[in-house]
Amino acid sequence: MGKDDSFHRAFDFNKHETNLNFNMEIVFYLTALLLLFSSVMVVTQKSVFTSALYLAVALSMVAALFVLLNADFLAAVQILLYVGGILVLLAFAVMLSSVEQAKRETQVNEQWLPSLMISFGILLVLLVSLKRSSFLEAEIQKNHFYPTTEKIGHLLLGELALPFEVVSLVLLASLVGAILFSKKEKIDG
Amino acid sequence: MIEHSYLIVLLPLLSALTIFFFGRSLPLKGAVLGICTLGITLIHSLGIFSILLQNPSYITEISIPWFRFGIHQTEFGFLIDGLSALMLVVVTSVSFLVHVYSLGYMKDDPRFKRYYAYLSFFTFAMLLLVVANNFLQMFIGWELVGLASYLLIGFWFEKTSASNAGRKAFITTKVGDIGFFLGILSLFSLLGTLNFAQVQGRIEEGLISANTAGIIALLLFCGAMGKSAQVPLHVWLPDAMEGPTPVSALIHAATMVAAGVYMVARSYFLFQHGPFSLEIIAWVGMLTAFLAATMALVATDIKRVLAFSTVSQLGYMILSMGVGGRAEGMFHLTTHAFFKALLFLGAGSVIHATHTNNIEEMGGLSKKMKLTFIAFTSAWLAISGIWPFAGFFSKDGILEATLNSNNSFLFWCATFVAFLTAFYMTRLYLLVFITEPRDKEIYNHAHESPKSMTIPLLVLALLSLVAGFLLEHSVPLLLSSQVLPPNVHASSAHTYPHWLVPAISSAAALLGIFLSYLIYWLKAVSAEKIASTFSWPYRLLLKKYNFDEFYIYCIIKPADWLAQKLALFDYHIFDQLGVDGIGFLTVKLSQIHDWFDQNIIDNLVDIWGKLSLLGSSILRKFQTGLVQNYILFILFGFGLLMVWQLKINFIELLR
Amino acid sequence: MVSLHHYLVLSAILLIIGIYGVITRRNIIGILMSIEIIFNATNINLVAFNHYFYPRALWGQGFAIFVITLAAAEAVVGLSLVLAIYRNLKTLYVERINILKG
Repeated sequence: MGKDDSFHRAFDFNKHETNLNFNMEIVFYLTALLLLFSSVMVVTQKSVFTSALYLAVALSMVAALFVLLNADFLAAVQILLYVGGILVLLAFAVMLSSVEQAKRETQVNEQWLPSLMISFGILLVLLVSLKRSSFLEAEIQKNHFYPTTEKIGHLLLGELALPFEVVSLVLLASLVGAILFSKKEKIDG
Repeated sequence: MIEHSYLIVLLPLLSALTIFFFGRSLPLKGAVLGICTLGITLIHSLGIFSILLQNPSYITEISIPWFRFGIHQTEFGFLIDGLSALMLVVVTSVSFLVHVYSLGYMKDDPRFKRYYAYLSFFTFAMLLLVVANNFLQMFIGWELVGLASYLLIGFWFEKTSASNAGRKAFITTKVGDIGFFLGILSLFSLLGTLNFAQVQGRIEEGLISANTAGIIALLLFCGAMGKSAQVPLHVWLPDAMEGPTPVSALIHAATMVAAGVYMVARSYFLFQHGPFSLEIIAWVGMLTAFLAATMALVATDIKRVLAFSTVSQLGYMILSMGVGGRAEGMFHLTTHAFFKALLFLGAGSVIHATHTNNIEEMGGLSKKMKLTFIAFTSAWLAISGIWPFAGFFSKDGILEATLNSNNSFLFWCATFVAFLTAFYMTRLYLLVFITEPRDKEIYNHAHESPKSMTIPLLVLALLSLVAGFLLEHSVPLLLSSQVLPPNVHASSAHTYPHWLVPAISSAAALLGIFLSYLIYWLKAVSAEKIASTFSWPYRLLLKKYNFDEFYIYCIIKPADWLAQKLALFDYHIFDQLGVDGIGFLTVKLSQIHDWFDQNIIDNLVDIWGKLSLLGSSILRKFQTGLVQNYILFILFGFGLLMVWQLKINFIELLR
Repeated sequence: MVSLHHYLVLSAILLIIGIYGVITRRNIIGILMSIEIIFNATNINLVAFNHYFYPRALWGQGFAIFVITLAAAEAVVGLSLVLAIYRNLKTLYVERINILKG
């Protein structure tokens, strides 16, 4: 109460009312639509590079959704890491290894039809189970929007400190591994 | 004497057995034994005969019971009355003379001993028949006589014709014996006894109806038809001439063939009791007499002529029986025995001299064989019915009997047959003895026979002359011992002068002789011309009215065919289909089992292996090596699992 | 109103799209991209639940940060592997990378 109270006086969450002048639904639907479209493009494009670009679009849309969900810090992280990091990496990899592939060749393998059907099946399963579930709707009416960065910082260095450190170890391992694999020497096999 | 009458039957039997088994060591290979035995029996029979002549109603019956069940009883016995005494004399006398004759005739035969054994055996069987007091014993004797006849006809069995003739005789008489046996069975079952006297008694009591008695009588007559060669069972007698001539004389002239007539005489009461049986046998006898006489007209074998003559005379006897002349019939039987035996023995003498049977090769033998000629003349005159020979009296009696019956047609037929008899006998006599010899060789070679042969001839010749006088009144006397119901066919109202019938018969006989004399001696009308003019009847007679052909085609050939078909049937159906078929089926069954075992059971075992291979070849396809496939399978399984767990039904899917 | 339900459906669809891509794409990099899509679907799910049920606490978002970080690490390793494979086998198609197949 003490520490928290002093901190929280800087910004009064309870009083802060969000003044939303936009229609949330339209935004959501547009974003969702674009997201879906671009991810479908990712999995169906013949050229890998094109699908990488579409992936960038998709990831950006995800960031927009995060904003809608009151995860502004996460949205920034998403853009920075995913689009600015991973995607660039993907792009580099694509460009480094795209010499041999012919643009006309099909990118989907021979089992696309059964996988399509099974995917739809699983989708149906998921949707049905979703429909049956009854989540509490109590908090939905309120749209609580507030800056989250401070809270996430508290979280990461507080209760989630251990996973934070472990993740840094993981990153170290992956760095080492990447360097190892990228050495220009033949792999025995 | 009479009490020991069984000896008459027993002695020839013993002699036959002795000769058969020990004849080789006996003098003359048993012929002497045979002759002596027969001599004894002859004397015995004559003794009995004389006793009965003095006392005709002295009937003796000795019998031993044989088997009985309930009221049915049979026995084994002897009946000595006038009828059997007469037959005894006939049989033993002729048999004795034939025994003596055969000494000379069969002298060079290699089976001399067996011949005498058979002769004695035959005599035994005939005597057994004659003295029997019941039908069963008579039947036994009947069959034994048939056996002896078969053995003796086929005595020279190397000749196929002889053995065939023996078989034919046996089988033909057997056909008649079937009826005979049926008659005996009927009597036995209806009356319970077979003894003559008892049967007669029971019939007179009226135990069976008249129609039944008549039918039984006809059944018994079937046997007579066979044995006494009546039409249609006469076919064996001409062929029976294949046997030695003394055999023909004894069996087929005098005794065996007379057995039928004797049987009719014995069971005469039965015939009288039936309404129509006597008529039928009269007509049968008439037909036989007529047909046989016509067949004798054209025969060229001396023995065959005599055979037909025998058949004809037997028909005469049966005819006499049928019209009520029982005594006359027996009288004729006696005289016929003598002169027919004489005829045969004479023919045997001729054959012995000329070594041929064909009369067309003979001729003029009267100059070469004087004794035979004299004897034969006596016989010829007797059979033709010329006074004072025996045949005149007996034939006369028969003609009178036919005249006294209601049927004058029978009388005129019988007279005509007498005419024919005279004709063909004269023809024979002329062609053999009187006419010019046709074959010089044979004529030169001919010689008289030895004494053993000629003496019996002369004895018989004498008997042919005097028997008529001797027996003319004895026979009816003897036969009167059997009390019979009065003759059904009552004498017709007409009375004839007693010289009418003798006159007519003599006229017929003389006419026959004269006609034959014309044709064959004077050659006024050529015999060949007659033959060619009446060529169709001539050929029919030569063929003996085709009786044999008829029997062959209508009876024997179908029976053969049937037997063959049945044999084939037996072979194909029972042997091949049945026995072999079962074997075949067994083989097939085991083959099926084998196939079953191999294919089905082994396949059952193989299937499991094949199933594994099949399963594995299917499952192998899932191992693709591609991770994406594996992910797909996982998802697929996951989907199914979820669907099942969430119990999704398709209605839910339509939100 | 945009409810939790919408976000959940969206993330489900994205998941399926990502799965489809994983099992269908022939290119390894394509597969990796599909995996990224799956990660993003997960993230949306987490954040949505966080927002609608626990608006004051941000554990969901923290979880999402970690997911992103690990996705990055994994992408690094994966891509270096891809480059190594490409250098040796000269191909990026999955069905041709079958040296291990016996």
